[in-house]
Amino acid sequence: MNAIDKSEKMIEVVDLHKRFKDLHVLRGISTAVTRSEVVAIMGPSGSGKSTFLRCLNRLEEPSSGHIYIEGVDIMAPYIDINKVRTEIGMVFQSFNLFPHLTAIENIKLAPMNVRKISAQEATQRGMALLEKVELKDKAEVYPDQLSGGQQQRVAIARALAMQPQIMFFDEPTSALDPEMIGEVLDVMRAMAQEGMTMMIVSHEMGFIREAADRILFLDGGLIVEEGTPDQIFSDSQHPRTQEFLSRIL
Amino acid sequence: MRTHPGWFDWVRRPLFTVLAFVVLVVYAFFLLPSKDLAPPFWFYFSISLFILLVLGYSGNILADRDKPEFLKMTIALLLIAVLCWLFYRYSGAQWGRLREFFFNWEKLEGNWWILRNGLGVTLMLAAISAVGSVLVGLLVAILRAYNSPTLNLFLKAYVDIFRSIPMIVIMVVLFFALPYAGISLGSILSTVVALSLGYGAYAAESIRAGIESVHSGQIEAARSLGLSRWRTIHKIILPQAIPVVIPPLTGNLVAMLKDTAVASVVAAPELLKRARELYTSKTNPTPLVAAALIYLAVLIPLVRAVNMLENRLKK
Repeated sequence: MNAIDKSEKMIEVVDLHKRFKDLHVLRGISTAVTRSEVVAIMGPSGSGKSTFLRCLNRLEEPSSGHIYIEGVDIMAPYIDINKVRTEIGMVFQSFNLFPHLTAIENIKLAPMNVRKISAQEATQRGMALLEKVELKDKAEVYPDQLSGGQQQRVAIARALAMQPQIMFFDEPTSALDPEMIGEVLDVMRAMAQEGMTMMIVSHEMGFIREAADRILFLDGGLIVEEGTPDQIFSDSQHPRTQEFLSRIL
Repeated sequence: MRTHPGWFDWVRRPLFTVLAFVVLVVYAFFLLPSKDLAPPFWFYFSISLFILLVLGYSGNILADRDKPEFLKMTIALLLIAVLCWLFYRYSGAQWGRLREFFFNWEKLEGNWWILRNGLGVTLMLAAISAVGSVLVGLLVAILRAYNSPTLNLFLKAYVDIFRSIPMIVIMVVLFFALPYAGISLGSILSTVVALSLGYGAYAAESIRAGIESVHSGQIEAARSLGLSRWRTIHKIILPQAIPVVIPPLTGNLVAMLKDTAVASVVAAPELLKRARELYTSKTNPTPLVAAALIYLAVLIPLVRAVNMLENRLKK
């Protein structure tokens, strides 16, 4: 691959709508994310943040609109969505580690079954990733013996094992005890510095201020305001953003 | 709060327990009518009253938390003995006749191999149908996990239909009716197909419940890693669902083993069928009693095993 082209569009969303029966959750979202950009998605609960993120790899089926991942229209009929998903790592609020597998098996599963690499190579890569999240000694441990912060770091390593181009984080620290939030944010910070393209649903203001390039503020299924953390935190223009920030700051 | 004994507390005293016991014994010897003298009202009234008193007495002791367990066990065994004694005394049965008809083992001498062969056929039918029904159930449950509305319509129809038809009707239709359509399955195959389809429907429901017990976040995590639906089912859902599903499935299999006896109506040479043949040829019901005892000997350990599996899973 050539030198990183920071203007390359990794994700492009055009007029995305999502309806759950009578509920119109996303009401026309359009935005684009370039390579190595770190985008934070904020907004009050029920504003559609998680739904938006989950639509981008079609964990939720969008009702209408277009989504392009690295230029590929993933809403086109007969597209191999599994192939698209291998390019997007996803980290969940509730970790969702596979409880019947050890930490290293959790990490090896997808590379071996989807990328078809050998068990040996998968183990090697997996151990390197565990080292990166500082859990090398927990490789053979089952998820229920790990703390929340450790589980979330294994979950990040599991997502990274597929060598994705993009990482999605859906409230990655919301289910954690306060003393464990830092260790997870450290891993995410390191990933941002290495140039990973990231979309993060989170309300960790300190982390967003220092790591995010841009904030999307969602309300009522629309992006009501977007800008750099400085612009949003100290000079927000929209009354909904101001009201929300005044409540959580 | 009232801490003093209630008005009924005297029934819990040891003295009452002993006195009431004496009263019941006296009643049994002097007040119970002889079975030859049977003036209708006094006869039935006296026996009913005696049974009520015995039940009340044993209930009073068995329900008392402060009475020792050995006393309760004694009372329970005594209760059973008294009821047997009453049955024996008034039913007109005699030991000699009971032994001659129900426990006449001489009649079975040289014929045990017939029952043994019957048991062999029963176990074979059960084993083949067990594999068949679990395979059918697994297939239906996995296909249902794909959540395709069209597919689900047909799968639900199968499950509902086969859970609604009595097993004996499925077998009889397969064995007696299908030959008119030119399909002769024979008794063994009819039985295996009927049991596999019938219990496959139950297995499908049990396995589906197990699959649905796997948290939806597991599926999302697997799918977001790029695993296909089939790989998600195979690598993530089934490994978590199978331990949940094993106790109810084993329960189904025990029920199925019992239902192999229904195959005697389509002339499959299984245990009950062979016992009935012996009963006819010897004009003595002892073979039927023997068959019942053999079913018990096979099934009680299985039933206990299912129970243990369930308890282990609860932990």
